[in-house]
Amino acid sequence: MNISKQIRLVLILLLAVGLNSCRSASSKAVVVYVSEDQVFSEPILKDFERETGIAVKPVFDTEESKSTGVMNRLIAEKDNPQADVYWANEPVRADALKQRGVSTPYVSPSAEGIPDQFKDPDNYWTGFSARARLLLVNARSPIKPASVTAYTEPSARGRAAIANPLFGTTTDYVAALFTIWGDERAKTFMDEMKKNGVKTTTSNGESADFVAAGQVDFSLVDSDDAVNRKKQGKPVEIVYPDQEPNGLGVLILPNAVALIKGGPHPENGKKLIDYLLSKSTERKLAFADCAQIPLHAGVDTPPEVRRIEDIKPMRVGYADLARKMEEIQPFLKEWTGQ
Amino acid sequence: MDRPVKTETIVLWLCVGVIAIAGLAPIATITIESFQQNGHFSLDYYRELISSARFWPLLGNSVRLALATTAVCGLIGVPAGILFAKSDLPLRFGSMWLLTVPFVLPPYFVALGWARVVARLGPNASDWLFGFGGCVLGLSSVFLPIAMLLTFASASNVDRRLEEAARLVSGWPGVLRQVTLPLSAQGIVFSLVLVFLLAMGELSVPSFLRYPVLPVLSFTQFTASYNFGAATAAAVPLAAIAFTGVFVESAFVRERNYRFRSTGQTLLIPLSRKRSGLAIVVAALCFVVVILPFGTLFADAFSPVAMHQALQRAGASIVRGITYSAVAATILMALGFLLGHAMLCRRRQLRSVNLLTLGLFAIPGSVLSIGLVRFWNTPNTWFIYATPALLILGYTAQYCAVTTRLSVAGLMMIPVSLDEAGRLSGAKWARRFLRISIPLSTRTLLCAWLVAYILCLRDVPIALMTAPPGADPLAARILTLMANGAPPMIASLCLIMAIASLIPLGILALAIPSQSPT
Repeated sequence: MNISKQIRLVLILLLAVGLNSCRSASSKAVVVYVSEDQVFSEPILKDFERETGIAVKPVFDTEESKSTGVMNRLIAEKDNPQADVYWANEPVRADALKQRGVSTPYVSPSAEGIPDQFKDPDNYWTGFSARARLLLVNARSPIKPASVTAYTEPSARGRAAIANPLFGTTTDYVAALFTIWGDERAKTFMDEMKKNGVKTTTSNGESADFVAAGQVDFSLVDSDDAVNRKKQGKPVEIVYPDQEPNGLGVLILPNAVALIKGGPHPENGKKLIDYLLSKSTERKLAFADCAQIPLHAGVDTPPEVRRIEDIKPMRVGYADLARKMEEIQPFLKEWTGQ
Repeated sequence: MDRPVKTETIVLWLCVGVIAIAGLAPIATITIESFQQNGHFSLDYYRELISSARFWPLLGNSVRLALATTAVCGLIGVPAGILFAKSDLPLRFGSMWLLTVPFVLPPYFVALGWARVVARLGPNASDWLFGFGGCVLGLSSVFLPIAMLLTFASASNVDRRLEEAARLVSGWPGVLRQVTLPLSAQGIVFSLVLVFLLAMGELSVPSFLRYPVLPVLSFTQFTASYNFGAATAAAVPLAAIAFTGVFVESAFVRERNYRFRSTGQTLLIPLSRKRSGLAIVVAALCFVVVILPFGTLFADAFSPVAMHQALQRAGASIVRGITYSAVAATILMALGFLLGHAMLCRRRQLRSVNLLTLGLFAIPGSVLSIGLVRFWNTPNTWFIYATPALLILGYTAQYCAVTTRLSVAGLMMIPVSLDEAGRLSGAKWARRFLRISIPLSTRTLLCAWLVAYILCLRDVPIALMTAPPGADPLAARILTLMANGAPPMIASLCLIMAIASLIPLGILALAIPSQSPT
């Protein structure tokens, strides 16, 4: 055999081994697309990997970085799915996948004990470890808002902030107002808020920083942003808005996990879902910097994280929210001028 | 009798084939999608786009921002390039490479650095930064090196004998006006077109600094509506402007196709009394563009805890980023050189290939990535889609224009007589290519590789969208860790990224000014 033939043979063997290893390595793996912030989700996935021996191959995305998003990737991959699990940072995205036929139903044994309000009725996704939309108020501010309607009061003129409602959890919140109040009242509220000189920020994190620095008096933010600033010793107070008996309530936005239809490792995907929905994962996420609220009753929480049973939540269906979000896009684009 | 097909023709078409597979086919896939609704031909996405109240203001903002950035880069970068290439300014090479730093890092680094600067200055500075002014500052800092380096390269390659002859009858201002600048015009115009196109397509800085531009519209269609057809339609005006820019540039250089014959030496302008004053101006420029924003950004990066956290979180991503970029750079270098060589042999195809590669360069990375996902995600092509090959294809499509242009510029400096001598002695194209062009182009090849490596390493949209699961490169990982990641850890990651980019920049700096000015 001459040298060139030998080289060719070695190359073919290497290629075969390489391709085979790609295929065989994947059988002890699970591919998860993650919208939850990487700093919080990655340690959980590492723990799963350590405890089960199943290699986790994640694709991360963040709401705050406004990246194009794993959500788009999942939709684009619909005909040939590469992911097994989608870990969404709020149920609306998971519900959008259900609507587009990207996910498939799965009832996890770990989901027992999670209130039905935080699950898809058809089991396409299940919620866990939630954020709440809270008011973060500067401790030195003369304004002490107890309701989201404080945004339209004359005392808040030019002294309040809100993250860009075209993105992230602020879109959810605005869609919730449209769903509960109806279009007319919600539009009036948004317009009055704008007239009152509300500052639009790029993210909830930036809104929280504005409040902490005293650049504004208050802002609607996510509970993790609020708890973070509190932990950093900033002069801020956390207000759970609209808690009176007839009040609007607090919008609770759980993480949501969904099994992808036709994913390459469905069994490993189910194991990961079971793990994510467990009480131990909820406990870890409550004590992490994201300070998320466990949805199982009786899970330990640090003092700054309220238990779900102590909060009056907004009564809104996440599927309705998803539909409303699409519906109000033109209004929001006009409102933001984008 | 049919004429035999020449080797260079086959090579040219093979290279075009690679680009077509890497970029043209994915873009065609989603372009077709933008003309369809519910499976039928429709212009609705385009009608909606043009009738949208936001379209024209956003287009206006984009053009305004791109023109302002191009003007600033031209007004500062071109004189700076001439000054560094032709004068006895002290520490000119050090200053030039220092000013290049913002370009080799992801653009959002500059915006992040300035945001930290203004956070210390107060709300008034913050109001100015978060708007048109801040965007022009950020983008000009990032793209200034393009105008500066291409002017430097063009001016350095002007034959000193021509300048010496002109010097006999004129002072230095006249020589610069009548000889140096006209002979450097091709490179300068190309650099300004490049700055304009990049500024038009740039998303991360305007979105970070909250200045609404047209790419945001396309991006919003992806992020908020998941509407690929509408997003592609929104990107079409950008592509149209890109093609117009390429046409303008081609028309300008058509009659100015010079072949340089560098003597390896450059004439120097003695600055005499102006030396100190200009040195202070350059030092101030370096301080404002580089030292202030990056000094503030990296201020927290050196803590051992932050560095440990950064390495723990992103150690593998660093290796991956460097590996992917190195592989892509090697492909881009080879493809660009082959294409450049074949284009010089077949000048009729020069404009079409230029148009193709520059068009792909100007298309936003997020649009290209969606196209790649749509085109390659089939059960039979998993070996492309589920591996880093997809990412490499994306890099190849997006940055091929740069290595091709660099190769053409380098090849044009090789005297034609050498190739003609080879041809007369009976050497075929491949032999002349291997024995003449490659040995005389080692510096061109090295520069092309390094530039491609830097561009791939700093790329964010393609990395974010096409990296295989569990295998993201560093630029994408920094962005995903930025949300709620501890600022010192992010600063350390930015520093690591900067080091990974600056090492090749250092090599580039050593490779390029190997000709000592006299």
